[in-house]
Amino acid sequence: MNSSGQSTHPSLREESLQHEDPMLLGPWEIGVHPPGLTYRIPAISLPYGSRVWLSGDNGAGKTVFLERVLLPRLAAMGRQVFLVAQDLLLQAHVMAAVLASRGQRAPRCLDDLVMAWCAPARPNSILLLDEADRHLSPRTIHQLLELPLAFVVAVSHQGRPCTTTHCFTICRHETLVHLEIGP
Amino acid sequence: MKGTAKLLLLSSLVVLYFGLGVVGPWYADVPFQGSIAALCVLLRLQTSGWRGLRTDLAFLLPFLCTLVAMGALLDAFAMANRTDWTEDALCKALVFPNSFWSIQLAVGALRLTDLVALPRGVRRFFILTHALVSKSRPLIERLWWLVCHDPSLQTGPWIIRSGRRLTVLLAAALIAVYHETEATVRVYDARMALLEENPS
Repeated sequence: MNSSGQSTHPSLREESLQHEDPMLLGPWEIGVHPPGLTYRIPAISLPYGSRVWLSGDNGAGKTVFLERVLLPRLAAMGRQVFLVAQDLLLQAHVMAAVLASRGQRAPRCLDDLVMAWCAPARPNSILLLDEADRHLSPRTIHQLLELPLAFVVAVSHQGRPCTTTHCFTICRHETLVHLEIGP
Repeated sequence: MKGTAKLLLLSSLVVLYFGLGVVGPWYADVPFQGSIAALCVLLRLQTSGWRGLRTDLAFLLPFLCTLVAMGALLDAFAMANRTDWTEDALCKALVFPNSFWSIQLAVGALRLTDLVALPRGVRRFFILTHALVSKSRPLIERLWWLVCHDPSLQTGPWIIRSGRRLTVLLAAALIAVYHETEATVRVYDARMALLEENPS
């Protein structure tokens, strides 16, 4: 809602976001059903251009955090969010169809396809990479992290990409999931 | 009942419904379609409970509502000088869930052990079809989620946005199901070749 009490279209809200605004997350306590997890996210302010490495054990809830917690909230803030999902080989079909709907030819190489799909991203867009390094070359991951975007969050089990500026860890204790800053 | 007899009975029931209710004389027969819908709902409740039925309705209702809305829209513009668009859309809104449920219930009732007794050529076809039908629904649901969250498909009026999403879903689903079919055929043939080499 804007100051006059009228709802604002997401694209108008996005235009009102300054390119260099910091990203403010939390504090949130969000239940996600299924799989029945509760996420406790502290208040975090990330400067423009942050590159975040998100780590955590297998099954800790990183993918659920990206897809069911972070993505919907960023979209509600009016941000344009590009998610490169963990099942990228399936998402590639959507990417190819999207490129075709834009009148573009879809590259056969997966790395080129992802780069072409991300091409319309604007300086205030956000990129979420969910274990994209399982399918994409290190060079492409580096190129994605170097795109002129507001924020990039990358989940990786291959170690911390050298261009990341922050590191968050997802920790799960039974059904309660915390987001910790560090190590 | 199991094996070939079960397969024949289920196939006959599905073919009978399609023959009478989809391409046959009872397509627009509302009491017939309503009875089939009620029967399917009861069987679905019995096999998967309220949760399964809720999931089915969440999957079907957006499509059915769009179908009826399109019918009303075409009626409002008297497209092709027809005035029965809404009526036809309402018929389709009954026939589509019935077709969906009849196939889903038949496939759900079949077990792979029912298919292994079939003759070799037919067995391959039925096992591959069974595997693909079982995989298709979660595949399409995931594709729809990805389509709905694609940033390129977030803008524009609702009707244009929904149309673009459905087009992208259709194209992506066709490619995905094609790839899935190829992969399933490869795995099946490799496994059968291995079993024939080492029958023990």
